[in-house]
Order: sequence, then C-alpha cells, then structure tokens
Amino acid sequence: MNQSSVLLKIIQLNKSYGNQKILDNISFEVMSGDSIALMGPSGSGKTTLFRLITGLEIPDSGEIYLEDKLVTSAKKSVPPFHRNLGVVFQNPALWPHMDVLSNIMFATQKNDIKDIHEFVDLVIDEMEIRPLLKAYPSRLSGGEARRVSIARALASRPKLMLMDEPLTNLDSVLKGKMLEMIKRVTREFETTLIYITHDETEANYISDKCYRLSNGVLTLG
Amino acid sequence: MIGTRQLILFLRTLFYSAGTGVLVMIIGALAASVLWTFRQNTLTRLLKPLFILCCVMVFVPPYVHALAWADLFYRYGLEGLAASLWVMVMALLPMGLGFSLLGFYLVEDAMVEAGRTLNRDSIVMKTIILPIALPAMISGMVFAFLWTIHDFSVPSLFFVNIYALEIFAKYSATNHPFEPFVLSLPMIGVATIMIVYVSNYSKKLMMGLRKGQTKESLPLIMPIWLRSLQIVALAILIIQISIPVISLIIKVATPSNIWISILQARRELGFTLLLSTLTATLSVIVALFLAKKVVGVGGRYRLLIWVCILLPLAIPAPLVGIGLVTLFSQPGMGLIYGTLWMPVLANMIRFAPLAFITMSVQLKRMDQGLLDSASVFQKNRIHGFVRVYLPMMLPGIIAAFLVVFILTTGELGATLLVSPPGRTTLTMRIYNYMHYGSSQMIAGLCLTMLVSSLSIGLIVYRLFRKTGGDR
Repeated sequence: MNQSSVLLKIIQLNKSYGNQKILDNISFEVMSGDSIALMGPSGSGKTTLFRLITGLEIPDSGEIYLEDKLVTSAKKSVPPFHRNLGVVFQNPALWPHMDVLSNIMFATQKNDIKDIHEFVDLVIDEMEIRPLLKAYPSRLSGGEARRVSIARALASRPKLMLMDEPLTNLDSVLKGKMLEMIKRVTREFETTLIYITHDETEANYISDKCYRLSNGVLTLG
Repeated sequence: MIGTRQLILFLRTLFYSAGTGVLVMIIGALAASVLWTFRQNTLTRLLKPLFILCCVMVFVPPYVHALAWADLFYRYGLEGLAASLWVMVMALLPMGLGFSLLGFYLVEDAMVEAGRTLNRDSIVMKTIILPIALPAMISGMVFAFLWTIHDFSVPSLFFVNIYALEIFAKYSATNHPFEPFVLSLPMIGVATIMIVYVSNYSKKLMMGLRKGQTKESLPLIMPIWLRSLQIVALAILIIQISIPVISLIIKVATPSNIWISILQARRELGFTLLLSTLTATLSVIVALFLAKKVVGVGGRYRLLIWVCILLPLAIPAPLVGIGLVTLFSQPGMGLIYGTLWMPVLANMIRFAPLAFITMSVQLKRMDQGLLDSASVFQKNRIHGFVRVYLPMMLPGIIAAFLVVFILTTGELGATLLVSPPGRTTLTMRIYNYMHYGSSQMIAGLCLTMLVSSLSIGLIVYRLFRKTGGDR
C-alpha cells in the first residue's frame, strides 16, 4: 500500500441546520493507512461530519474527495454505496430479520470481489464471531453486536473505515478488548480508519493523529 | 348445515374481502413509501396534510363513500362486486396507509443508513426496509379484511350478496339463532386466525409508535417503475378524499339543505349521540381497566390474553345482535331487552377491543421512569394518580372515547337487530333511505357525518401526535 497517497480530502466544508452552524469551513486530509481520531464534545458536529463523508447528507458548501474523485459537493453527491466505505454506527444497526451471516454477506453483494468468501471467512475469524453466524441480532450481547457490525463494515474490503462512537454503552473491560481488536484488524487488513469519539483515552489508543472538533471548528491535536 | 350455495357465497366473500385487503395494503404501502423515500423533499411537506386527512378518513363510515361513488358508477355502468370492492378499498385505504406508515417507522434510521453505505437504495428497500415493515402492512391488510368480511352495508347497496348478509337474512327468515351461528363459524374461524396474527405482532407495532424520525437523510433513489406506481397511489389517495367531499357537496346543493336534513333527523341524531356517548364512556372504562392489567404481561400468556380480548372483532356484526337478542329474551333475563342498553352492549362488544388497543398504545408510550418517580414522590396513591398518571393517560382516554364514539355512530349490522322499538340511529335512517336512491336529504346527513367524522379524526390525530414522537 502506498502510505503517502491522499485517500480523503475535505475542502472548506460548511453545514448548518436552520440558523445553527454545525461545521465551519472544515478542511483536512487523510492519508492511506492513517488512523485518525476525531474528538469533540456532544453536539460539536462529529456525527454531521461523519454523515457528510459517508454521503448520507450533503453540505451547504465545500467538497469531499475520495482518492482524488469528487464525491460530495453542494451540488453533487455520489451515493453512499459507491464510496467503498466501511461504516460502523453508534448503534450496531444490525437488521433484525437477517442472521449474523446474512448481515455480513449483505455488504459483499454490491461488488464482484475475487475471493470475497475467503476474505469474509478471515474477517469472521478475526472478529471471533464464527459461533454466532446463525444467530439473529436479538440474541446477541452488546459486545457481540458491535463485533458483527465491525465485521460487516470490513466485509466489503473498504479502503476507509468510519466509526462513529462504536463502543458507546460498553463497559470498560469490553471497551478495552474491542479497542485492541479494532486496532489489530484495521492494521491487518490495511484499512484507513477515522474513529469518532468523545473519549480521549480511546482516541489516543487507536489513532496516529487526533483532530478536535469544537463549535464546528476543526483543530489538530 | 352449510349448503353448496352458501359455500360458494362464503368463498366469494373471502375472495372479495381478501381482494379488498390486498389492494388496501398495496396502495397504502406505495403511498406511504412516498413519505419514507422522499423524506427531505418539499413535496412531502406539501403531501403531509393529504396523508393526515386520508388517515382520519378511517372514521368515515363506508356507506358515505358508497353514496358518493354511486352516481359515478351508475353513469359508467359499474356495478356489483367490482363497485362494492372499489368503495370498500376507498373506505379502508386509511388502514393500509396508516399501518404502512407505522411499518416504515419501525425501520430505524441507522438500519437504513447502514444498508445504504453497502448497497444501492432499491436493494436496501427490498431486503431491509420492506421485510421489517411488511408485518405492519399485513396487519393493515388483516384489519381491512376483517372490516370487509363483516360489512354488508356497502355490498347490499350495490345489490351484492355476501356472507354477512346471508347470516342476517337467515336470522330474519327463521328467527332462530342456531342456524346463523353455524353459518358464522367459518367466518369466525378465518377471522380468528387473522386476529392471532395481529395479536402476535401487536407488541412490536406499539413499540413502533414510540419512535420518531430524527435525521434528515437524503431521499432514497428508487427505480422509475416504483416512482410511477407511487404517483398512481398518491393520485388514488387524492381521489379517495376528494370524491366523497365534492360529490356530497354537489348533491346537497345549498348549505340550507344540510340544516333542513339535520332538523328532519333530529330525533335520530339525539338517539345516536346518546347511544354513542354511553357506549364510548363504558368502553373506555372497561378498556382502561383491561389495558392496565394486560400491558405488562409477557410470554405466551400475553398472546392468549390479547387474542381473547380482540376475539369479538372476529364475530360478524349480525351475530353479535342475534346473540344479545337470544340471551336477553330468555326468561329472567329481560331486564335490558328492548332498551337503549341493548345497542350499547352490542356496540361495546364490537368496539371496546379497539378502545383497548388505543389505551394499550398510550400505556406503552408512557415513560415508565416518570411513573416510577411519581410513585417515589407522591403524597399518596390518589395524588400520584390524579397529578401524574391521569394527565399522561388522558390523550389515550380521549382518543379511545372518540374512536368508539364515531364507530358507534356508523354501526349498522348489530344495531339494526337490537335497537329498541321506535328508535333508530342516524346510520339506520340513512341506510333505509339509501335503498330508495340518493336524495339531498341523505347527502346532507352524509356530509354532516363526513365532516364530524373528519373533525373527530383530526382531534384523535392531534392527541396522539402531542404525546408521541412527532412525525
């Protein structure tokens, strides 16, 4: 993997809801292979930025490039599934009518990746969820549901993983284990990571570089 | 006991009811999906009043729709089963729309968004949204089916014989309850299966009512064929509301005609108001008691209790009347026979289960934390009940009252059999006159019924909107 190439480039991104400015002229770059933490208190605009990168919302102005391709501007928005992102939400968002394996395999339907089944097998082992494959989400514990949700995000072999406070509501022991697991798998699968959190310990552990978002303004460090 | 002719009639009624249910579900689901897929669009904001109006049209009795459509049908030679089916679809479309909207609201935003990051919107719709929403849509279909299989007011206006009418006719001919009861059994059997399905799914449906949509996501991109069908469904929705309103206004001709028809029917109006108020009040008391007892029950007993409470919905309206007449005409039981309490009881049997559903929904929507904190801080039980519980429960109580009230005003199948001598409800009067062809007077009464039903429907909507997640 080329460590020096720019994977994600955000230029002067602005977003408001009504009169409330959520993001104010945000610009930053993420290089391939980076692990970035995006920190900030509740209501600082972290989730809005996450949703803009995933393509679930459009900005008022500004541009987002993925591998030099314009994917988001005020006028243009490439659909989320065309962005090749792995996304983990605050809520595991597992589909209740599908078992664990179907939840994971849904992510592999969109593209014709060679050896996808071998790759999914690997992800399943890495996330230690093989015994859960036939289970339905309602039977999973909080930690198991998060692991499945991460496995689903990894299954499509994304270049960029986005995680929006994925460990919310987990106890500290489980959180520690999950953090270690996330760090290991993203390195193993050479996936670039943007990890959104309000927890400084989590941010320091998982990232090489840490951005802070406060009142819609982004600063490094 | 059931001859070949009756078996064929039963199958024909099943086909007619199932057809109505399926059409109600499909059109309702397509229309509801507009609100879901174009959530952020300006168009949806404009369409919202249309959806609300369509949902509250559920309170307008089917015969009002029948009267409104009749002239059009006669003009174009449409009659029989097809005409009756169309009118029932129009009358029950709010059920399809309401339950489909509920189904879509059961799908959490995060689940849709997780799907959208991985696959195209049409696949997300097919594999995620629809499977989660489908049971609610089917529940709407079931209610439409149950309503249609029991209603003979509309088919009889289009000279169509259906099974419910056969039960009524059998009793009229023999004046004996046994044969109508046996005739009802297949109908009760089918309806019970439907009720078990709805009861099984009721808990999930009530949870859906608690959620609200918060995120302003981009609209889903749907294939052109689906968008075309959505537009057709919207057009049907507009027709469903506008035809009764416009047609009745044209028939009434002048506002003074409405006043004249109300004056002429003032006796019936007074009796109907008294009957509906008594029925609604008693139903609310019974439903509140039952809902409080039942709402916390879990496990397999929950299903059993729900089925038992909703089972009266499976009984054909004429059979309710026949049962009451038989029971209270026995020696020593004649205390209420021939009194106002007979139709009150009949309507309670028919509609108290709906008051129970409304009340259970309200109980489920109440924040248990608030009740727990009241039990800690209250001076005594009465203090907590009056200051916290009752105000929180009030929207459900009022909504349940209004639901039963308006349905009782439109009830015909049971009331026709148990009404005290010399007393008729407004619906009975309208129904009797309708068989002689529509006139300004009937149109005036129907328009009054339509406006009052819509007003009450809007109040119910406002009450639930105020205490639930704002849509």
